[in-house]
Amino acid sequence: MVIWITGLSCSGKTLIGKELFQHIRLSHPNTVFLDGDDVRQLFGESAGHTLEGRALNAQRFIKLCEFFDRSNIHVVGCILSVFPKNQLENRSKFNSYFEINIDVPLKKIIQRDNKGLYEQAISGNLNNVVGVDIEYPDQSSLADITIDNSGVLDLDKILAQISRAIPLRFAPTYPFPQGDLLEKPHKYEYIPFQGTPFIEAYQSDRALLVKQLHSRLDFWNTQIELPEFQVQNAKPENCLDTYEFFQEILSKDTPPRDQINSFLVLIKRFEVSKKIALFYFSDWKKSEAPRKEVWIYIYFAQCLTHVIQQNISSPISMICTNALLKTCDIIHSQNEQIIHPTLLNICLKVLLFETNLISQLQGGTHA
Amino acid sequence: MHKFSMIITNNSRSKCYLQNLLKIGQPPQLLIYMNSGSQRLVEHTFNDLHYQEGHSQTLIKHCPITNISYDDKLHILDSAVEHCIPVVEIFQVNVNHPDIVQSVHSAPGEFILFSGPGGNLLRSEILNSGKKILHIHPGLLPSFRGSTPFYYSALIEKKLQSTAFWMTEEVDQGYILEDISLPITSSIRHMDHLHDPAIRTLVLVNLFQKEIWEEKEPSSENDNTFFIIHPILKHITILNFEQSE
Repeated sequence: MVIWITGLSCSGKTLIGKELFQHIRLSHPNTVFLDGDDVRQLFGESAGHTLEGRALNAQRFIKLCEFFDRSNIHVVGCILSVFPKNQLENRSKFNSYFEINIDVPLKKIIQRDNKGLYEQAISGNLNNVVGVDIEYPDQSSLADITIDNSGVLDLDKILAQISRAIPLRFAPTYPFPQGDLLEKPHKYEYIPFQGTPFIEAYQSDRALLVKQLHSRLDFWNTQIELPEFQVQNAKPENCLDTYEFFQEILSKDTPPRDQINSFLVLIKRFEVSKKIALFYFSDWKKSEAPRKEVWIYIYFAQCLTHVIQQNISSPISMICTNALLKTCDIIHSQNEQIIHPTLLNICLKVLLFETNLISQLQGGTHA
Repeated sequence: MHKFSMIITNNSRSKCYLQNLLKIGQPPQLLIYMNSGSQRLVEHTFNDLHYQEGHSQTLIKHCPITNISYDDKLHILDSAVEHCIPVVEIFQVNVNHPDIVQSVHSAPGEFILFSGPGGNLLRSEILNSGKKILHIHPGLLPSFRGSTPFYYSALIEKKLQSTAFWMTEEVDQGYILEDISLPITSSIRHMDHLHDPAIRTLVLVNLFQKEIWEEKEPSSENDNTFFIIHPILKHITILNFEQSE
């Protein structure tokens, strides 16, 4: 799809276009941003700003859009359009086309004039300025949607307006459990704010996982005898056994402070590497122990829920909640391996706890 | 006037620091510019990456909670040129690289203000290069050590907080010079690229307006280390303040 954004210089079209691009890219990574000025730079500024130069730049812009469109790459393109014929032709040229007109009255544009462009043009010191000595055609009949940007810029409101009108679905997804997180852990760095739909995407993702685990558990419910879960752990001497440590925590209603401190050190090891080993050297120092056994993450998640319950209003609860969300992402990414009824049961309890906790936090009723 | 140099990169934080220090008449004596070249840093915004020489557009970002503003479209080097601040440009994103250590060692001034790329842990070579390194942490110390503390203090205390301190080899444990804690009174949806740089800048400006800096030993009580916030917690934090508006 080619999303064509037009408006006078200083109307805010590039700012809106960049924001729209960032937003669309989250659900459609095959999207590029193209700006009229970028195209000028790309071709060495040779076009100039006369009407002929603008026609040349517009043709180059359209050719680039065609190239991306043919390669199934979406384009968010911002250009000051002064040739209505081009815009009409665009509708049959591209696989899919949507035009946005950023409307700001010329009087208001001249007041903004953050480039000093209009001041120079009005005083006769600059030629070829659209809106002053080059006529700006009426865009409202050409565009699919007209956005009024004459007031205080509210990008979120504008994005919502565009997303309602645009025939391209850009609802956020919850991408974190994708791939093998034990092979390639997620760093969770800088994800832009996507509002409530992002939380909803997470909730549907977790609901799907719960459904999958439930259907697996249903199979065991038809069996007369259930297998016992046997921990396979060849721990070397003088090492800390992670599973044993988790069982110690789970065995106490209120784990003592030194045990919580020890657990916090283990959380730190997890947060740094996003992995939990079956055993560690003293003080939870790195070991060569296996770190890809999904069952240990399930017990880790169970311990996190236990500690959160005991420390409900303390910062420790928030540290554990953060680790719990990341551990549940790992569990989801490895869910094919979870087949034992004991593990399925723990997983389901953990996931129920996690989603309830998130609902409480959403309502501000926690901590 | 304080005599110092700065480690910078072209990101929101460095732009906000430099522009506001210049506003209060506290220019650095030298900028050690860590140029990431074509490498995109995690904190880079569109404007950080798509700078066009000769463009005179401005984009003033204003944080109503701190009353701090900066021009997001003004490249860090344009501020330097405008105020005749010498720049050492190093194509490097690793702050511990020997070229950066060497530049810090020979930089003028009594200390270095650090505003390099995010996620860089400073090692002993740079911390012991002969200059004290000032860092502004986006959370209250020692209560909110670690990564993305601004989200945690918003979630737990409903506040924007920041602390200026001398960096040491123990992460976030150096002597404290200044801190601030402000109630969140409006939306924080632009936390990463507006509220975070703004609250840090406010502490910086408050500190630089003092002639004598008093050092406070950080207490070991209530010290918690937080880790990079999960996107769901980040969204909940922001949404909780959207609803309360």
